[in-house]
Amino acid sequence: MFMTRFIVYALFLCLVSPSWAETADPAAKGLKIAKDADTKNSGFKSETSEMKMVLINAHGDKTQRKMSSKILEGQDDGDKSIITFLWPADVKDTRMLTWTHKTSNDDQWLYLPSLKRVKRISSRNKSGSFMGSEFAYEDIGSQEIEKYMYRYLRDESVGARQTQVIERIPVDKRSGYSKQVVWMDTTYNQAVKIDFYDRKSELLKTFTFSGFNQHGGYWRADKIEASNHQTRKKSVLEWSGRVLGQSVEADDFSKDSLQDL
Amino acid sequence: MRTSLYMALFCVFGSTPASWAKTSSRGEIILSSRGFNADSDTLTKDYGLALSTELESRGRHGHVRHQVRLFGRVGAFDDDRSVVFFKDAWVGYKTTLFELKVGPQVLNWTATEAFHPADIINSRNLDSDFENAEKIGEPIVSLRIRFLNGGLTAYAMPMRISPLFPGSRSRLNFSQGTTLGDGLWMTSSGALTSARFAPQWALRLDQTIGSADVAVHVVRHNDRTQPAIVLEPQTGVFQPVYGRVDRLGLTYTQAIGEWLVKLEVDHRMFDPLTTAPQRPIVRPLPVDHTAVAVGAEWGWGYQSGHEGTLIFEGQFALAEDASTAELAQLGPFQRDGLMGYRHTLNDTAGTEFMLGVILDLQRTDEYLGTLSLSRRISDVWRAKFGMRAIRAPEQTSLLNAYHNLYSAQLDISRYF
Repeated sequence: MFMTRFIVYALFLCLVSPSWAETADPAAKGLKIAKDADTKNSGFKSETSEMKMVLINAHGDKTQRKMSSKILEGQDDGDKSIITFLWPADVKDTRMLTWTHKTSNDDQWLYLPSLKRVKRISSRNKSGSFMGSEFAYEDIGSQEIEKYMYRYLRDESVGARQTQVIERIPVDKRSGYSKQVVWMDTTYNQAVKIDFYDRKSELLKTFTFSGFNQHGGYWRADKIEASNHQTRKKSVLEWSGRVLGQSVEADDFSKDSLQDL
Repeated sequence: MRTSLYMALFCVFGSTPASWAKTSSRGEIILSSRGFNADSDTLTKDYGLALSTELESRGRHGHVRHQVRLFGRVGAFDDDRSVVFFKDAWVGYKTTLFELKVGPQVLNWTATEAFHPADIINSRNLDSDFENAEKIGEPIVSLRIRFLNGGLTAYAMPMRISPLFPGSRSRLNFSQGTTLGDGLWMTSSGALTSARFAPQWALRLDQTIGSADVAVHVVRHNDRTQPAIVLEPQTGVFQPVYGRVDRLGLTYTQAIGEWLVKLEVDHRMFDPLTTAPQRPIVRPLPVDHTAVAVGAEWGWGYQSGHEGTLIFEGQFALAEDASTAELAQLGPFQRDGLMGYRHTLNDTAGTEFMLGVILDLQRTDEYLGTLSLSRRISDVWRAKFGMRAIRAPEQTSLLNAYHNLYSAQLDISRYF
């Protein structure tokens, strides 16, 4: 009788114990890894930086793009961001304002300086190339937890880095990806590598993150190399002058602000 | 001309003191060539070559801001195409609560791509792009109060700026080669004057609500888009008359799933024009009416990374008790539909292809077709090629002046 009661009690404890559930359920563990990384990256308030992007075609020819970026961390909803295009010259001062939402479609506006027009654009074509690069619009936007379903795969080393590998599947059927495999660094709480699979579930491209620097308590990669396995094209995105935690006005992320310097 | 160009250049690039906290400048020089199918008129020029430039300087120092944007064009074969004007030349003061601006401004109140009934403040250079004519800066004092996700802006527009009409040698001249005389402005009392200064004002409330951008406007000013024409009996010159008008309208854009839905409305109530017999009215002011444009855009991505966008728009005029002839005189696009397709390659050259057809929904044999291809040649050069065909055989149509007009244009732009 005592033994029976003990076994039942032990089973009950196992069932309600979160740690047991996490290790046994890959989905719960994958979600927990993503949430932990998100929590540890929360509270940065704002981020400003300059960006340089080098596009390399299959023959090795290089083309350069320049941008600046400003991000306001969202409290209850997703982040808000403004990307200002600086180069090539014909798109200079063109701006894209994005209000990311956790569950609904993002709001996006484009400011066209030659027309002085602020134009709402559809955020539905997520798979479109960003400035002709190997980065899609959905790669550039804020990566909210709610936009994916997760599954823990394994622990693995990437070079000298210890990572947890998770699979994430976009909730939005309009995503250009069937799934992503993310190597999440256990110290940086940031991805160090992501494999993207296209809608046919074939490996499309790989992002490799490097040049990690600590800004306050937050790690950020200063370089992402995107290699497209299907076209052999590459894009390298590098950040400079990155500042986190600066005081910025919420008004700076309004439609009005798009016409400002 | 040369002196004014130098002065303007100084205004643009000399206007930003080195001590300003943040400045930005940009510019472009465009070599434009255009050709039309030959007509039987020896006066008009079937080929055109022009060099245009747009220079912009912006600065910010604390709460103070400024922007200067100058446009100039020199026509090689047609002097009438040579113009210099400011699009913007304002100084402003901006806080989180309000923004004050003083000086010429270009306002963009449109939501749609082809028809713009609510984009009404600035005069246009009508010897430019047919669908999106160049705007001329309007001297404005504006005060914007910011609240929620938008604000309320009050505009005082003390100086009236005339549109620029195509000269007698331009194939875009719509008055059968006749050059119009100087414009006359209707005053609030109904008199006609050539005085440029008069009270004009506007109010615009705009907000972003969920996935929708909404703006409502009220305007009292001299309309530039639908002038009356009177005859000056002593000189025999036709003169445009810009009527006083009260306007009430809105623009609306909403993202609904994969669609962008758009609406522009502008209700126009004109003061009556009674100049006869001093100046016989050749073409009266429009009847009071409401101009409505509706539109929808649907975009998708191809497996190749290209993007396609279908654009549907329609514009129609609503006027109680108006005759068919009166409705036809409201504008060239008073019951028309647009079907357009934009294809973006998303390549490093930023290649974009656009095809559009505007069909008159009443006169079924009337259409305006356009085709354009735009592509970056290098980081600082871009080329744009466009073709246009207009068919409007009915003489009651305002497009009839361009019946069987076929044109091609090549713009080579150098950005800096």
